[in-house]
Amino acid sequence: MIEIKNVNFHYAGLDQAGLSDFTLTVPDGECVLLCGASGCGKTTVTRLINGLIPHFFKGELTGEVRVNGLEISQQELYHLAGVVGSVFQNPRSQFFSVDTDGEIVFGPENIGLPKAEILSRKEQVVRELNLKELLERSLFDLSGGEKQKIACASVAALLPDIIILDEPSSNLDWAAIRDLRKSMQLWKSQGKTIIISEHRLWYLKDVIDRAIYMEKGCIVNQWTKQEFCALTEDELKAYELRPVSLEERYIHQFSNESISDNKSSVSESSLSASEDGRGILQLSDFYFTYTPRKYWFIKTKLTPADERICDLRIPSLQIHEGSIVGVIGDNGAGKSTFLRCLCGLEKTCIGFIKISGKIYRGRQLTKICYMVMQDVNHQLFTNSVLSEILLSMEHPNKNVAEKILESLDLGEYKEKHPMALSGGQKQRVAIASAMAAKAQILLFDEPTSGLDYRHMCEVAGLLKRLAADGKTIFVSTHDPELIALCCDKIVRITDGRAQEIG
Amino acid sequence: MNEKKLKARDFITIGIFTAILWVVQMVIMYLGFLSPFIIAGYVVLIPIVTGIPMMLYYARIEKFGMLTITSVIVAILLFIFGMGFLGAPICIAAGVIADLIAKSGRYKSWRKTVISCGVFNLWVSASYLPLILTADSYKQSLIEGGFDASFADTLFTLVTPATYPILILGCFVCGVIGAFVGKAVVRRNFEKAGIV
Amino acid sequence: MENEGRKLHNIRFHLDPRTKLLLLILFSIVVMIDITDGPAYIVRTVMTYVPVVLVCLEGKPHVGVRFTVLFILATWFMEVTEKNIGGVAGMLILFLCYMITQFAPTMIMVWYCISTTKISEFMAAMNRMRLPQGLAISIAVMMRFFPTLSEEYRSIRDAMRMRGIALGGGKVTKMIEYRLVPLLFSCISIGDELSAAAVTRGLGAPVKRTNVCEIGFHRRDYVIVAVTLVLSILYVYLSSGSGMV
Repeated sequence: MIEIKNVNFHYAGLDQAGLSDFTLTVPDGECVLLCGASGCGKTTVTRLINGLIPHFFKGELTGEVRVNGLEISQQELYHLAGVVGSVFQNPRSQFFSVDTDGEIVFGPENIGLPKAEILSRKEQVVRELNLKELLERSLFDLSGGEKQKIACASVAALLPDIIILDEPSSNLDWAAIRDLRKSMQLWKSQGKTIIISEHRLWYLKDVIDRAIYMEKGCIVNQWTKQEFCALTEDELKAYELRPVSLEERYIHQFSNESISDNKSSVSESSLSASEDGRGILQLSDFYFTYTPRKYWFIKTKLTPADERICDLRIPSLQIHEGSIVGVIGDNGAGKSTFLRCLCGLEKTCIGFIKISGKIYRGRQLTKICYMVMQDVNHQLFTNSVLSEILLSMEHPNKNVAEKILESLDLGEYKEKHPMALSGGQKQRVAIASAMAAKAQILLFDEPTSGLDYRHMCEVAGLLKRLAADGKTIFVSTHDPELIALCCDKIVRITDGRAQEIG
Repeated sequence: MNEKKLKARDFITIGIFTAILWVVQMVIMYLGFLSPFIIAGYVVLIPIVTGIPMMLYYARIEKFGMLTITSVIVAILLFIFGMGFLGAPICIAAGVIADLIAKSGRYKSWRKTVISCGVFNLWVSASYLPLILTADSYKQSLIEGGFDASFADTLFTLVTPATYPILILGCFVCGVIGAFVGKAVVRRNFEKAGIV
Repeated sequence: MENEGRKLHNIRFHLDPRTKLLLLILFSIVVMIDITDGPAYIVRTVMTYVPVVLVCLEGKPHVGVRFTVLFILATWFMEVTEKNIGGVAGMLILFLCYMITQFAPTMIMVWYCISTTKISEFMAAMNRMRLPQGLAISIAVMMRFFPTLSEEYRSIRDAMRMRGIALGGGKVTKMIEYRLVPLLFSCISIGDELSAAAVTRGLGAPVKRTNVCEIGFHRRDYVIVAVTLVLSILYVYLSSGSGMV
């Protein structure tokens, strides 16, 4: 039983994402979805329950939070470890061990349970969540989905009554999300209480018992499972929530099952281009491998004949200039590799792009392509938005830079530190620096992971605008809604091969 | 009441910053592999470059013990890399004193932080100790190993028992400079972004 | 479970973390004393191969082979350079080779210890040695953080390449700043998320921490320690005999 009574909370030094007069009661065994735009306070609610507020995040807190009769503010965090378990958003940063086995038993070891008990719990969790093949592996070699599975196992091994999930699907592909749903269904059948804060709703509609919609730190609306499933797409849109059934339909359409009949055909269709090939981007020979053949003294160059050992094998692909290409596929299928090769980051990739008769390869690709990385923090270097743009220009010109910022609604932030901005704004700063560098081809690696509906639509709008300006855009994504909103062409990558859809 | 005791979160912070500190100094050490002259330059390079992470670290310290533990871990690492025995105790002593100085300013006073950072950087001088104590045999082995004598002499003009006090002073001074450089970077970036 | 554990130990030649620590200490003694010829040098070369053999036994013979080639090349180069190449270039090559032969044994030993020790084994060993848990946590986090640092650094380097600022526009200060500042930003956020995830799973509870993994001394530990110990003593004796401590 979770009781939150009249809670007010403000993060120290932040004026958003707090809670005002928040009251919520969750009986044992219920599965509750917290939804709403980013900054509405749903993550704050999860932190109230797992005790990170007030023990980890400082701020002003009034009101009462009780979990199973325990007053949270009076408990030490390690007492709560066996009662409330938490799975977080970022699979990369939430593990403590280096190996999977150690990570699963990490929690029970911390609270000093007897050894036999820990081992039997481990065995149970491994069986229930089907983790046998992940044992004895290094966590650094796992995919995001596999890491998230281990995180779930590590939490489950503590046998908590309550499990909190804070946007757990942000970095996962569709198959991994289905696995996550399976874990949740298992916990539900075990009678555990589940609180999940999430933007992606399609995978949750069969799992949840109640949905809570929040705005500015207050509950605005509540639906039971039936009411929630009955909401029409337009109603959901009015709440700026992601469409539930629509998304699932898209996923079905885009993923393996529906087009398995022509699996073998690697598309090599050629576009009906004008004679001189103007307006067409011709990608050729994109072969790349992470495990090059052994060599003694001189590296042999990859050739199309090495296709068999390649992790990426795209002999030819034609794209209209100024179109938006959605790149889909499971994690590990080669999406990111494709993008990295496109912008010339993989030196051994022999691929080249032909635009209007001019050939770009190797380092020249770096000049005309620019990738907005999934973790955009890695590509912001300076201490103000304006200098970030100037850094990208061959001939720094303040007026031009300001014009670019203006066009991306960043004018008012030009003196701010890029890292002080929100995720979406940071993304726009990265785009602005790409425009300043006069990149013609923009690559986006999962630009909408962890974004709410409104921000996702903004990204889609922005991509369209960039395309209208003549930029060619490749966007790798797991977000079906984004594809539906803006992509002109979809390329699915399976096992390093590209296949055009639709 | 128990706020003064180190908690799990503090230990994690210690681990992370010690890792950064060690990696940064290892990178500089590797540069040293390329040229013997850089080895003498450690005194200048290491304290100034590590000033950036150190100042960020100082901004996150509120309790006694964090610098001490960092110095213990650095001492262990120095020991493993063959600079131990005499170097390790110096390193730990520097850490404890630096911690005490910073504590006397309640980890807030800028003046105390600067001095503390200077003292902490004395650990860099510890890594020269084996070079000095075994200077003669080291020089001998270099010459026997085919280096010519003048070269060995150049290497040791900067690092000899006679110049050791100067090296120590150099560590302190560069530590202080590193503190100012680091603070400038922290103010320009991390404080501006509202992270610290 | 017990069976599986035993099976694993049979495949891999697994040492107790404390044995590894002892080996590291013995090696640090060897690195401290430089010898370039005579019988002591032979002992030194033999000792160099202790970690190489260990790495091979862990199922990574390619690393051992690579190291051997590097070691032989460095030794050979040293001789060739000594006789044929003079001047500053010769000096630099000589110095590089000298560093390789000098520090490579420790490097490979450290690499062996870090790459084959699990965090849980390490925590168990620290516990057995009655070292404070806080220190154990800090060192464990550090060990986990090295690979994270290299992952983050690689992303930042890629981003710099795309922007064409890998050389910082020719300014050394910028070169350092553009690498270090984004790296520190990610470290801070990863650190906070890691701490949150660890404390919600009970890290820092004032109870005696359980350690599931089996550690303990076996015959192989004694053999390795004995061999290394004898070699170290022999080395110290021989090198002091030739008057070069």
